[in-house]
Amino acid sequence: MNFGIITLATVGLLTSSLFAPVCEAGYRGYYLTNEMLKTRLMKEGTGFALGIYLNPKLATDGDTGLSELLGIYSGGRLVNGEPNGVNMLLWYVAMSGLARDMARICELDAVAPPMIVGFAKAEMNESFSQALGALCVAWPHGRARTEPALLNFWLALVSFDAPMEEFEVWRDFLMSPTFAAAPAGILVEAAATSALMNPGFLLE
Amino acid sequence: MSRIASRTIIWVTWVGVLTLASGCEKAVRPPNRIPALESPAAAELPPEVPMSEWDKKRWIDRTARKLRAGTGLKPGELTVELLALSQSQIIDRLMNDDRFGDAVLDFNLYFLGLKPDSLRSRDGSFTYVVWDTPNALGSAMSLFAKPGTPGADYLNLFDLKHPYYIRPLTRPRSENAEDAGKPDDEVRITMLNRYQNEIDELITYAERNPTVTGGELARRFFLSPGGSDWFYTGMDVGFMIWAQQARDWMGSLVLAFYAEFTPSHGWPAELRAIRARNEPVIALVKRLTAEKYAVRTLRDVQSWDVARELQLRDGWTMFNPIYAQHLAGSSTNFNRKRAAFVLKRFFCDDLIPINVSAPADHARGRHASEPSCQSCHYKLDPMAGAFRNIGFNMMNLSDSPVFTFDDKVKVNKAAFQQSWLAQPRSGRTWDIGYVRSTDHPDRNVYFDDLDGLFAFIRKAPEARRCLMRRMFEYTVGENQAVDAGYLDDLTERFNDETLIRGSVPAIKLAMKRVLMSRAFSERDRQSDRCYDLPAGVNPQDRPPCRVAYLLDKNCTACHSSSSMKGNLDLSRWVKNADGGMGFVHMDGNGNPLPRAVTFQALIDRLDTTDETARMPLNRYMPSHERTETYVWAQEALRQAVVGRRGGRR
Amino acid sequence: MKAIPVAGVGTLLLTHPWMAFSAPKLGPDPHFFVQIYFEGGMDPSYLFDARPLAMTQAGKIANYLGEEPAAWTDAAGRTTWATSLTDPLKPYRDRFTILNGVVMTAAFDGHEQNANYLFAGDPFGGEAFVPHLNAGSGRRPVDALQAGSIGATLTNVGGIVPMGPSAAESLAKRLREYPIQSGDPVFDFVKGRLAANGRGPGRFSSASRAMLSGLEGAPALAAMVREISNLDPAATPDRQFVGLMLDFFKQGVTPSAIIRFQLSSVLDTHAPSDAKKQPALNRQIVEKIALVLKSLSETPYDGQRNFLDVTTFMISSEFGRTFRQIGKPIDDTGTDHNPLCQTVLIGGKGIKNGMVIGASDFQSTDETLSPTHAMLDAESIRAMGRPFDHRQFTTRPDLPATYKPSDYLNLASVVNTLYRLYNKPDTLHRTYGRNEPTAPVLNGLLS
Repeated sequence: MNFGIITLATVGLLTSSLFAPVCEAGYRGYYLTNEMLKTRLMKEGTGFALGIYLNPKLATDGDTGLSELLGIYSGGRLVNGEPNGVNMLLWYVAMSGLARDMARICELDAVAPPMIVGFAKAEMNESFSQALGALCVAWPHGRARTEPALLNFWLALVSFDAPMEEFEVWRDFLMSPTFAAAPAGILVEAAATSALMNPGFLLE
Repeated sequence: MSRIASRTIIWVTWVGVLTLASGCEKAVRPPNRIPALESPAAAELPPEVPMSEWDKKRWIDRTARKLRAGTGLKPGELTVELLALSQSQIIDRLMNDDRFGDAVLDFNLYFLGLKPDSLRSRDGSFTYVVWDTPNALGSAMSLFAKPGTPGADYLNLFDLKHPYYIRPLTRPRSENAEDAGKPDDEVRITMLNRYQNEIDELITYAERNPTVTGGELARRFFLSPGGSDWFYTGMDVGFMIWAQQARDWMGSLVLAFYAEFTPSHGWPAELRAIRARNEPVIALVKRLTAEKYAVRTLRDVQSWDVARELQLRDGWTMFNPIYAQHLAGSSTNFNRKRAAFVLKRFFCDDLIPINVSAPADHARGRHASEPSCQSCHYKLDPMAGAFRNIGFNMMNLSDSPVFTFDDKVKVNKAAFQQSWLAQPRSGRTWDIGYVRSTDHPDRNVYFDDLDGLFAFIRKAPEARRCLMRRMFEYTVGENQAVDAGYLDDLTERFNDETLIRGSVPAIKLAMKRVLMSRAFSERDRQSDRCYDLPAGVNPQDRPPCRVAYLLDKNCTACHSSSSMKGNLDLSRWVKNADGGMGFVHMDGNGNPLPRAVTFQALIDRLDTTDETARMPLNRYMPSHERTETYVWAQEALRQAVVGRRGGRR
Repeated sequence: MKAIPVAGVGTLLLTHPWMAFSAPKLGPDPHFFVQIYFEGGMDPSYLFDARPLAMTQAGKIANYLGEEPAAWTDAAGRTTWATSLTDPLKPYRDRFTILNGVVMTAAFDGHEQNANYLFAGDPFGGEAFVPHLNAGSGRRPVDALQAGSIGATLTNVGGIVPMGPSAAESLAKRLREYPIQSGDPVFDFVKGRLAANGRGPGRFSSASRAMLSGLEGAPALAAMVREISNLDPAATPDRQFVGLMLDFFKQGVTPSAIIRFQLSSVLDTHAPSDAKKQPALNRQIVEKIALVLKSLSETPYDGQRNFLDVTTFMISSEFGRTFRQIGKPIDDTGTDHNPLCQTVLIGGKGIKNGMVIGASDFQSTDETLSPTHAMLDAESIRAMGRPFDHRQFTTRPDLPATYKPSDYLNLASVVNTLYRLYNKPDTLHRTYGRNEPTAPVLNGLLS
């Protein structure tokens, strides 16, 4: 054995850095976030892939790697889990795509522009279906534009991941004059996007 | 009075008595703790963290995700009845779910540094990494095993050898046109029979050519069309690779291909024995067709004690060929990569270099004159020796005079192993083991091989503590400060409960404690703050939690308010003259010294190889405690020098 | 860091009001950086630090190319020996400088230790230097675009994005076919919540702030990326990535790229069968370097300059290789790791190009080696960098008796030179190691 030069290969691979700064939290990662949405929105046993809103041909072409940029376990560690400009853009694209899909459910009778269909109405679980339906049916009138209806929708998406104060601010935003005359689809899209982009939902 | 408080008082009393008696020159050790064989009363749990109803709901959902491998509460699951339960009861309910097995499996893989993004593929089947880590899988399956049976031991996670946990069959891939269009099960058997036929032909060839070398036979076989069918039958590829390498199975042929090997009873007899051992595989394949064997939960997993049934010397181990991808033993690292893996994963030892002394009987070549190298190698090299017979693809090369690395380099095995030979007067054959200290050799444990290493790991207190540490990291988050005393307490309780109730209840309780911790409940955690402390500890003036317990245990016998050896008090954390936080440290004239001087002194005394100055003086300090204190002192020094206020709790 | 080798970005058509920005101007003095990394340990004797066949005939060094090297001389008369494999780089000889005899870590010869040393300046890992180049005023949304995974322990890689052609293409399609329609109020509201959640002292707050910073940059990023021209689907993956990199540069997405090129076989040629592939491997290496330089030089930046004029680049491996292995015949040997000597190519903007700087020893069979070399290479199977006078910027003739890192041209100096070139604070400068002095800047390299 040659000790002429110290051979200590790959300790570095398995050695955590001494110089890591105090760490911020990070995303849960694509997989966990997708699981949360699947559990909250879909009937049991139904699949769901948030990545379709990044790549509409996910089912045929397979994952091209965009969802990996939202946090994935590799080598036993979560990588790509720190917020940066690219992944925030991707989250926004994905969540607003999902939100628009919910709006589509709202406006099934209306002529809608082409959009990504990630799930069918029949695949939604009853709880989410009711929460969404309550807004779709009557917004901005009647019982749709009320705190209970909005709370149901918030809880259906975000559950208790964010503090109650976050719901309250979100509620006030949607009850503001901005959406007072908005069609249901616009409201749903705005509500879902802003809820799903809350850090309480995205961050571990 | 809590157990922790009483233990702390006893320990402090011991320290106090011995300090007064000896002037802190004698070694001070807390009394050994013998767990009381109490009746299985309710385990002592931390008090519930007060929280609002909203936050409790959040806690329940997060806990559900942790205990159900990512699946949180579904709509309607958060009932009034559930909400009314205590945290402990909620956890118990969630642990009764079969998905808890997946959660434990996920944690086990995290412990091994192999956690995947998802345990399951899109079709719901477990991914390959699950089947390639029999210790992780077997340990998780302990949750469902009948109590009292060997399988009902969570600490199988620390075992080297396991039965083969049978992966369900997948679609075979045959390149033979005759197989096209036939059912998978039929194709599979056909391929295996073709494989056996190739062996028959090889037997005939060997009988007709008695002087043929093993190398030629191996090349004929492995390069034949049927010779590769073994890997494409839809059986677990990792297992099939291992089977082909296992001694007393097909390992002789592989050795002959890569190195040198001639069986003592001749090749025809050897090949017949190989053929005979393949028959149970065919029988297994027939028995567990895709229709008959599907694994939806861990309860469905079947196992095969292949080593016993085929009477093999080589067991199916946690270090199967798939590990070769991650842990290549190259001609430059000489198995140190594998040793580093074991140290990091099972001992939570990142090999942060802190100088150690180089006693004469460990001195070899450059290491004797290079303490900075010794600071890692003193642990790494002896550990690497446990793999001295494990060559390429994790193959056992005990029977081969040639050692082949994963980078295909071959060396004379005796020469390769020579550096691990112990000194004649040492009383052992090999300098292979877990070296805790070069100053206190009585602390070290030696063994001969991997079997010895893992037998040691099963009992090693460091491994248990590492398990608790990883549990905390997995549940709460990485890079989060955790009080060493709290970790020690978690570990001690786990050990006690393992003895009293068994390892499965013990690991559940450990998980429960962490899920009920303040750190887990905290929404906006600060990385350098310890949210959970051992009971009875007064945080007032306490040094930073990362090191408070370590200083208390190792240093304050001499460096406390009552006994300020070197004019240094390491028991209190106070505001210093520059406005930053630090210890009380004075010069000979009673003038306070700058914080940076104190921290540098700490570093120097922990780091030095001069036995007359190395702290704690004449006492053993576990390397993980020395490392943690050293790293903290470095950071504290950096902050003191930069001028920031250091040492937030 | 284990980055994910994925695909690239195409055009993003985002029709939000908040996304309808025009790309910010890059300014009159743009400065990009490309780090090309060949993982596994390049053998410099097959490129710019070759040895005569006489040494092979004497059994000193394996040479599977089997040809005599030719002199490669700079304008000042400094010479190194280069193989014919370097010919495709001759058109660019005035655009880069050869640094021979660069020492990595004398104490470790493992891949990860030296990769950590290359990227982070510490064998145990740390902060990568490339993101540092993006710090300060004029910061871009992405620290670096990356191709290929890198086996190093790096802590500040959150701003490094591993994107490749297929990921980009799918995202581009998505955004072309389904432009995002969302109102300003929602975007502002989301930003507001991120800001509100970012006020606390803990990790969640810190991450919220990072999310806010990312989201604030996202519209401009989208607007920049929207202008990226379509990738050529018929091009090779390497060419596609380089095209993507240039588009990212043009649009101000990122100032840097880290490229780990894939080769047809391993560079870590311990096995003789692998070592015999060195000629083919090095042809590929040179092809890939030439691809990058060609692409940079043929892509205009503005009316006067091309991208090679505004980009600095660095090409290296994590270490070099031994001449041979002991006990193997010279025509059937592999090679092992050699952190005592590798060749670094550095060039482009701000660098005095066309030079040959530094040298390795053991250039002939009968050369007298220093006692330091003998100590570090008892088997005499390695080249080592010659001692280097950092002030005179030339090799020294002396033969040091003991090893001092400051006596040699070290990778740490190369990185510190880059820090100086990019006007980064001296506090970032690397030392030679724990308790060692700071490595000097190679002022002779700066134009």
